[in-house]
Amino acid sequence: MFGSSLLGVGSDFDILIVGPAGDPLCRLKAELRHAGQELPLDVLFMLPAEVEETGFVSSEGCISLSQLAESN
Amino acid sequence: MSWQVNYALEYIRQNRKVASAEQVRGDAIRITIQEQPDVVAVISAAYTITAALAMQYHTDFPNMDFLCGYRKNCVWEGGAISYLETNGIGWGSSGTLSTAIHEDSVRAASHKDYFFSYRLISQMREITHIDREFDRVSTMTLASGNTFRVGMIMEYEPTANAVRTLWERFGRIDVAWHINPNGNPTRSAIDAGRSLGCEVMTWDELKALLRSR
Repeated sequence: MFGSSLLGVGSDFDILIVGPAGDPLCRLKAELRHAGQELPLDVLFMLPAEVEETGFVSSEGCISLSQLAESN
Repeated sequence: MSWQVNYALEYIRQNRKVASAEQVRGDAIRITIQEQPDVVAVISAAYTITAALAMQYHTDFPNMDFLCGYRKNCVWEGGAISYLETNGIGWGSSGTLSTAIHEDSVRAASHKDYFFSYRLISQMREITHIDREFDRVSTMTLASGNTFRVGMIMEYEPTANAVRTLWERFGRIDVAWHINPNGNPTRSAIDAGRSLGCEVMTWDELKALLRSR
């Protein structure tokens, strides 16, 4: 998770998902669409190479969902 | 109360100019704003806002000032945009509504993600006609007679997924226009575009292309 949702403000939940393209991504998108029917999700999908190229995780202060779950 | 009305009320109440925000009925909320008339906004959970849906909301809520597509991935069809603007109803995201409240311009508001970019192409003399098919996809006809179908990508750093999703959702485009003035498309995004048959461009590159044809 990243963005204003980490601060408890904003209109939606910003989620970053890192992984390869292809069928697994298609299935994941379908699952997220179903799971997020009543949630204001803003999901960004990046390839591992894109994360490395942009430095997104560190520049945006992304926190893993497992870490967030443990802290709550 | 629907989930999106619940979230919208919580978000709008964070706006410092908002004195109160309450559900009216169904998906409609009334927002009381300091030193401004009240605003009635309808909060939609639709993935796509069609002309028919916009008209239905207007029929159900004749005093609607703003139609909000609450989902981040909500797509607005050109017919819906045309209907709403013709009837003096603002449209866009919750962020668009919040900004419009600050600026006292709710009924004239249009989706802030695409407003400035759409205005840029509207002002180009080389473009004689724009068919705005969706909020982010337009087919432009140039004075030369050539046409270009252009899709806008708002992400700070467009990814391969963003380019492919634009193509999958809206069909073949000639240009994936990176409208965010900050950041750059990833190499994978550029490669994805080329593999599909479109170029990923900034405004300067698109402007040069349109002027050369």
